[in-house]
Amino acid sequence: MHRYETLFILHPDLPEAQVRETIDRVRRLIEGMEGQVAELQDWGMRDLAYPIRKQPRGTYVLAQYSARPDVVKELERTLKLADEVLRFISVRAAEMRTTTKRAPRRPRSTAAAEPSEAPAAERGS
Amino acid sequence: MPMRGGKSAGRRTRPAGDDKTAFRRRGPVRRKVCRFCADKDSRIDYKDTRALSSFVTERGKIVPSRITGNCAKHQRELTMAVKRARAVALLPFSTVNV
Repeated sequence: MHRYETLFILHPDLPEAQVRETIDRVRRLIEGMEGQVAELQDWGMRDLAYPIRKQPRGTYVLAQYSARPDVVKELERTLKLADEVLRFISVRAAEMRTTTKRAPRRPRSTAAAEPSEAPAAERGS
Repeated sequence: MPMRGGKSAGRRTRPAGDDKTAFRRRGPVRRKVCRFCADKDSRIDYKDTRALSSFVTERGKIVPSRITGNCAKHQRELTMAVKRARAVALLPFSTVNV
């Protein structure tokens, strides 16, 4: 299981009910394949930096989840087939990993330097 | 050199040195520090348009690290983030036609 995030843009003319329906579908797809949805944010309608399919605006939705790699593949396949999706991007969320990886290193380096214990004892007395 | 040095002593040695550097750039060179190295908590995120826009010109070009002072590692991450942001229309590829 890896942490991923997928950001996709929905067509601006899509009725709100269908926006919710699409978001629901994404959730069901991820959870249906044993993935865990951490967050599913609706950014709402935003101006695009450049028109996509002649549309100047779009509804941005961000999905953060942990799942197997094949879930991302399946999600991207369905987004590609969905006409209401203007664009999407999937990214491996590595930010969390680096922090958890680094954390154990710091105490190790201080523990390895034994003299650090001696001054601590001096301070105590 | 020894003759000159004896005449003007410490005073003129300085301006002479300045002249040499002025050949390349004016004023003292301030060493730029990578903003992301200075602030370890900050992460480069393609979704953070506001943060990225300070590393992009008005035309949408990525500002070179020689201007911003970013280190190579963070410049690479920044470039990646800007390109991702462009892909999902959070940042423009170019603002010439728009």
